[in-house]
Amino acid sequence: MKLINFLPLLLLIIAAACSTLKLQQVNFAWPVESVLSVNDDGMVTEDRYSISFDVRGLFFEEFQDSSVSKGKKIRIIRDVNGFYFITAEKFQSVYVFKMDYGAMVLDNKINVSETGVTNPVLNQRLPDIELIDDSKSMYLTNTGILKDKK
Amino acid sequence: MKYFVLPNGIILLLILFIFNCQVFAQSDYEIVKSFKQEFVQLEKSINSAKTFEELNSLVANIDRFRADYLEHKKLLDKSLYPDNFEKTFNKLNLAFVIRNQDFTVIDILQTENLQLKEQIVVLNKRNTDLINKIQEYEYINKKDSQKFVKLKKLVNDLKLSLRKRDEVIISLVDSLMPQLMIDQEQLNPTDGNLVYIEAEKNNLLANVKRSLQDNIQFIVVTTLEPDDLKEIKEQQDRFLEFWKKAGAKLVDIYAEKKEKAKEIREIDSLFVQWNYALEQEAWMNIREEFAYNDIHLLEFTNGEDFTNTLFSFIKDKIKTIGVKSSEESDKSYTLFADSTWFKVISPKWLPYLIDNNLLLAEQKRKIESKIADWKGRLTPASFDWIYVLVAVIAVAGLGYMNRRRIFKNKKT
Repeated sequence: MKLINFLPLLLLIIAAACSTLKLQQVNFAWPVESVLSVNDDGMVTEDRYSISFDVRGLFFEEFQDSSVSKGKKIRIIRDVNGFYFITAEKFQSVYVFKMDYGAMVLDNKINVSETGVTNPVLNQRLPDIELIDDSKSMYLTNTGILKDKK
Repeated sequence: MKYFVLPNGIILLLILFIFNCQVFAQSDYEIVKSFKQEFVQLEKSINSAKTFEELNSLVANIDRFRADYLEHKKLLDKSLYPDNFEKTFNKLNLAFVIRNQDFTVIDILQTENLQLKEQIVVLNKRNTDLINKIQEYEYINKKDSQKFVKLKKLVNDLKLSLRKRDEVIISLVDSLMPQLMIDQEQLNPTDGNLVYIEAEKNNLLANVKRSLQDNIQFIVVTTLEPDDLKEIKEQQDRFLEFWKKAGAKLVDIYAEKKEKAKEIREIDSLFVQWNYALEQEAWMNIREEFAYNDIHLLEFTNGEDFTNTLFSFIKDKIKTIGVKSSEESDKSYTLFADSTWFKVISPKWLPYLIDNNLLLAEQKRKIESKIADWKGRLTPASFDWIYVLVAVIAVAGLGYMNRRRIFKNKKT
């Protein structure tokens, strides 16, 4: 009987001990996109944010040919929630990635042009990301295009 | 059919609206990129401005640049990490102030430079007059004490005047090439060209040459004491050190001007001549010191020559011992050793020669042991006669005593 009385308290202590520490109100947003050149090994490096990764998989996904990545430029920006938005010239989509253990994992593939973007530009427009292609502009989140914001 | 005609004002507003939309729809990345490019361009223009006017004209450009990007201040504040919008303009302002100061320094140096140029002209004339006067006085009899004092004063005046002119030349080069420029491994073409133009305006190479020629002439026309030579040596070292630093830069600057490269080579050779003249002045004066006591030595131009000449002189004198009268031999020794070597050369000249590596301590020791040998050979010769005399007296004395004893024995 006495044990039943203490059970809620015991459960509370166990729950507190198991919960992960979480820091709130994090702003991951990059103020401006980075334009990165792909080197011979398919790698891009962003010095300011000390990040580098292999983009051959991305080009393979877009063109079914990873070799076309050589010498190309990709445009990358990170939104307030920490998602990476990546696109490049002639891409039909903007790729949304999230961080994982030693990797970037595709979270969403947003189709933005049937024929491929010609002059893509990514701008930080908190809390969204703006995509401009020539004079066409649209707002994106990690879930897709914001229909009501053009 | 009715046509709806838009008034001109509305058309203009529409154009502006479309244009604004276009501007609005631009890349943040491009804004940051062109801001950075314009900044670099402006900074370059500031640093390469050649005149006050050119620099001042950039103020308007800086203001326009600021106004153009003020609306993007927030974006630039975040994107220009580790700088920000204000820091970037502070950098431009600092560059402007520094360049402005450069012009102020250049202005001051140009004024200084003008004064130095005038001083060199005055000193050149004064030095020529002094050299001429000294040449006249050098031929007078040194026993004419009044004129000798006058000559001494003139020599001293010229010495000071030459030193002053050297210092003015060094200051002139300093004003053309601040230390900062000398410290630079390689001068940039703009600075190099500026120095070249200023150096030419000031006849820099001609003045350095003139200074060196006068310094050589001064040594040639005057009879200098070791202390004077020591002072000149110090002055020479200072001037040479200056030439090694600034001269090397001037060589670079003049490298492409062929006729001027020849002048630089002449200057280098004048430094060698100056050094040679200074060395020879010491040897010549030492020879004169011997000649003053009627000892006429063969010419010598270095420590080895000097040692050999003295050795062969002493050897000759030793050979004549016994051939010439002892008075003559003694006199030769006294004049050489007592009146010249130990009285003048050793105390006055040897320290200078040894300090300046003109004579080695070993060579000095050899000469002095040869002099001792000479003295040693003179002394036993006089003793021989005494021994003979004593022996003769002793024999005569003994003979006399023997005769008296024989004589006494006979009587008894």
